[in-house]
Amino acid sequence: MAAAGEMSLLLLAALSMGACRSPSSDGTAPRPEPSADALHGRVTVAGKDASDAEVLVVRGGQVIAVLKASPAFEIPPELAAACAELRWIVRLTAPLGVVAAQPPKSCRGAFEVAIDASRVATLRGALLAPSGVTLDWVDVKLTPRVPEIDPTLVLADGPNPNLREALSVSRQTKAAFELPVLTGTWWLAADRTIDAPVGTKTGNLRLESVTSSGSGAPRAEFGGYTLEIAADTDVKLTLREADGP
Amino acid sequence: MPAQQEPQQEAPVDKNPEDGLAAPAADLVTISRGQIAEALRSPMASASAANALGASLGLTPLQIAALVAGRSDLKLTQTQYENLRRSVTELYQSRGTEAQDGGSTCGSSGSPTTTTGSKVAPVTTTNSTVTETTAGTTTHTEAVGSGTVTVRTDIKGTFGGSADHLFAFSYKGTDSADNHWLQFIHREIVGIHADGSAHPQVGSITTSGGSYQLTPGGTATTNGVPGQANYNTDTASSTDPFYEAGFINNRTADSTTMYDQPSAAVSRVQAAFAAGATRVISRAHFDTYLITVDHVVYHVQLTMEYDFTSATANPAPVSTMGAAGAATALPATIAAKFHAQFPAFAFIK
Repeated sequence: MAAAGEMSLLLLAALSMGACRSPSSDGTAPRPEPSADALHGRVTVAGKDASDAEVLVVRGGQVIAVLKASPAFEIPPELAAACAELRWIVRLTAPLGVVAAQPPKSCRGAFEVAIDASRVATLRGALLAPSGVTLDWVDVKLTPRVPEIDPTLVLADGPNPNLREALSVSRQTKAAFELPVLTGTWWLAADRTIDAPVGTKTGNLRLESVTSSGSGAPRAEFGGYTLEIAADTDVKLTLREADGP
Repeated sequence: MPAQQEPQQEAPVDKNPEDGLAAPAADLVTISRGQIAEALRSPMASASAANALGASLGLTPLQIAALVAGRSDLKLTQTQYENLRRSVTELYQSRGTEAQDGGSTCGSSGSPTTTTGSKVAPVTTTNSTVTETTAGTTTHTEAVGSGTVTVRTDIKGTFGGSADHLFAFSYKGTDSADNHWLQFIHREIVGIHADGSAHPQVGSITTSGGSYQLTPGGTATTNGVPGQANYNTDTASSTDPFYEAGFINNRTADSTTMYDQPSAAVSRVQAAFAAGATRVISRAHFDTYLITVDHVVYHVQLTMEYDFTSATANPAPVSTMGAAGAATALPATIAAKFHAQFPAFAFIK
């Protein structure tokens, strides 16, 4: 009969093996075994698990919890019990985007948020520096404008009033970038900002203009541009030297 | 040959043709043989360091020997000068590591003088970067050590650039060469929405001396409480923590004055409007310490606030002085950030 210590080691090894198990070849991670009384969520994009999603649980316009979907997520019993009166906002990083999920039909069992492949597009960007300026880095900022979701939810930094500057801030070090995004209306901004006292020359750059291969001209708004992304889209971001930070 | 090292045309020199020193091109930076000799007298100077720096400039051993022997000035192109600065910075960084182990720390407060042991080097050079066109308002004056600290706000000045709402901290005293300003910044961007709710922005601020996180928790009328991640040592240098190392300041034989006017962080402000704010408050908070030789002697707080009532507004900043008075050490949160950023200066407690 195995000693208690050996059993513990065996259990630990088994648990470790489980924790380290690789996703299957089709990119689908092992599914949890939901109990009949629990509410278990899952997020998929184009039929594949979205292992980087965040699920914001919203009550009365306030984020009350943020669940990590990797890709499955466990919904705490106290939230599951009130599932019918809650809103569920899913934030994705690849593709980048936000969707308002349909609430679960039942507060028990499986709750799947499925985003169709037709919602995924590629945003290809070209960063055009002013003459004589060598681009070392530029922060590209993207936030979806989703009519049914308030920006304070899109940008919520957890269950508190803090907001992110944008849904995504990516530091680009090359003159071209490519990002998978969900289709829809987006606010796009870009700058190179080194904070320093007023009047200090720091080589800062600001967005001068944006052109898009998509339908409609981008509209200047809040230091950035709002544009429609209905399919794969090419944008050119023309930068200018800034007077200061 | 990358470096044009040779005597100045106007100055009498003992040019040795065997040195192979080329004629200068236009727009060169000249380091005189006197400056080289002074540098070589420094306790930090060594033959190996000189050889390494010379080699980094592409100089031959013969040319390096000519410089060390005081037979020639050194003329550099702008590119070579920048390379030299980079080399010196790297040297500082390696010396900084030594200082942690009780070695010496090189170069503080923008001065080429050296710091030995656990002390900041005296700054014996002077400079007048800022020309004041309006002296502003004196908000505080206090005797400190053998001198006087003065706080002024809303100074107008030119310094290559210009600003209309500079604040300035001055120390005037016979021991000013041993006094240096060490400043810490933290920032808040608070969006106020139509329902009156306050939404502080989170995210990283990039500076030439490092990056730090915006401070959360503030409202229209109250300040957020910063943690270690929210503070940043306010310097343009990654190796020299003192404000005077790279930002605008004036230093005379008996005074040192630092000037600052933070930006409004306009791109952040715009993002807050994009997130639904109808008003955005951008605050920069400063905790500034006067360091004498190796220790804190004085602390002054100041906040500069920009209040944007619309996305197209261009508000003037308002400076508000906070606490000021004698101090003996940095607060723990600030010290932790400072020592993490500048371990070679851990002797400043």
